[in-house]
Amino acid sequence: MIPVSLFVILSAALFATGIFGVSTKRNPIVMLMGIEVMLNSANINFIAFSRYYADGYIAQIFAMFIIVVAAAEAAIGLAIIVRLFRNFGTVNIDVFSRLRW
Amino acid sequence: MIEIVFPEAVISLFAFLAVFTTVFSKEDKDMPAYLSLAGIILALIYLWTLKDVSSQFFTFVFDYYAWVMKLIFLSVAFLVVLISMNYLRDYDDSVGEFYALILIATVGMMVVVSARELITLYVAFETASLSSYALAAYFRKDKMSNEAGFKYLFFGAFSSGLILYGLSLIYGLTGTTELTAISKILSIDNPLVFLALGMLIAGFGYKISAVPFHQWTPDVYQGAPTSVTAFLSAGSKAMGLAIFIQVFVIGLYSANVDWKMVIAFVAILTMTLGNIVALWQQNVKRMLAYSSIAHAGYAMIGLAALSPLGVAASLFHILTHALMKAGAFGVLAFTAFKGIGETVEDLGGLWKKAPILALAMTIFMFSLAGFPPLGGFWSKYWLFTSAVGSGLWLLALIGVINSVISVFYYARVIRAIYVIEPPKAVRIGQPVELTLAVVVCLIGVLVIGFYPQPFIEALLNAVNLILP
Repeated sequence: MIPVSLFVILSAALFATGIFGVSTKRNPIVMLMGIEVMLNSANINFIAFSRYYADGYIAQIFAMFIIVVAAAEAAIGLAIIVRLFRNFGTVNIDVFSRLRW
Repeated sequence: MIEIVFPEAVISLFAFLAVFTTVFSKEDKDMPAYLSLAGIILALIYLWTLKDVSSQFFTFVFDYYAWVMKLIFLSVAFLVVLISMNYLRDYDDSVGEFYALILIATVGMMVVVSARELITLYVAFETASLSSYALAAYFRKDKMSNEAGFKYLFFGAFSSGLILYGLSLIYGLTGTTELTAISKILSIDNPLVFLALGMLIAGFGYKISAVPFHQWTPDVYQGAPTSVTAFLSAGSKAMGLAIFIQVFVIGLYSANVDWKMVIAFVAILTMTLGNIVALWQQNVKRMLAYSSIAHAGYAMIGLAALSPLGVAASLFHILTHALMKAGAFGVLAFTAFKGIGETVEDLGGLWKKAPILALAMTIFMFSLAGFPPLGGFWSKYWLFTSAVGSGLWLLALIGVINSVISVFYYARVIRAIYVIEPPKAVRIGQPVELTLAVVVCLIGVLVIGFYPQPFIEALLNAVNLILP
């Protein structure tokens, strides 16, 4: 059996990639992709851990729910991005600075 | 058994009906609102009969704690629908979806407080969050609203990512998703516990806008439609604190030596930054957003104290804060849709234009600043008492200093209402539904202020049930 630490290292690397993508990119669609990567790194953790516990099916169900919620999140995110494009004519996040302190 | 999910079922049904009305008429702005009000009232009546029920339906747990919190969420939804009725009457598109989203978000919040298990908790709070993102961006042609929705969605989704990663580590360490079982199994020797705790504090910190995870709050609160701001400030923040209590106080109780001090530290930062930055704000909506951040800090004092009184005081603060903020944003919704504006100067002479709302706003400001004998005073009193009781003198002291600082910016609003002379001060008609909502909040703040005992006792009972 593959040791669980390898899965955790993989998921940590994916998670870091996701955070990097969300915090450095200027394009909201790429940021949305970063968020999906973050959610999927949690999925990898759940699936990996599910093999090491007797009632591991709970973790697999959790992963299914995460996939569903991520799809809903992406749908709302893309809808908002479409509205932004209609109103601002661009989706580069640097122009969205009407709200500042 | 199954009857414990009926309040949620009723609200979901009426959410569906509210959308369904738009199929027949997009012009009818009142029908979906009346349907939502009917749904909420039915759910409230049914919930009232469940007062002493303690039961479980699969992973859905109903106890006194859930009952109290559900009453708060339903009342907030009721007030927000009343405020929205006037606020949205001039909106140039259909509003059925708006009320449906409010109801669905409320269902999410109600399920959150019944969840004692991570999957249910996650799905429930995402239901509430996703509906709130759509609500914040509801004014499709308004650039501010778009931007608010965008920022809320990205910060919210990012925090969900952090929370999920933390939860996956917690699962890996314990092998269960039941909160009470996690508390028993989790051993704090493993360094991964710290990583998981850090992720969860950051993720839930975003949800309740704790410093340094607060950057989205002022932008979203200012840009979103004002009745939505009332909902976010009163409902979503209450839900965030409820999740905090459930995950940390029930699920991670055995690791409390690790997270208590972090939360105390975050509470200090949150109170101080919220109150100090609020001093400079000209836009009242934005000022109240910073005040909302500061109040999240106060509520975290009770969690850091982690005594029954402390946690009960946090819940009590949720209640009073919800009433004060729903009322204050209700008044701002009035000034926004009557074209008065929302900066401090714009509120000038409000007492001549709309005397009832101006008086209510004054009392909300006094209550937010913590003047006795109003609701806001008692929540601060118990929070600081519980901090002293747990030996956190410094936390209580900084809380008191912060309350003094906060008086300055609340006083600016009050001064504007009574002292600044507007160019022309003519009486403006005060819309019935909105005024009713604001007056209900006002009565709530006054009743809690003069008779706080039954409320804190009820919440203490609720907390004693969930504290291990």
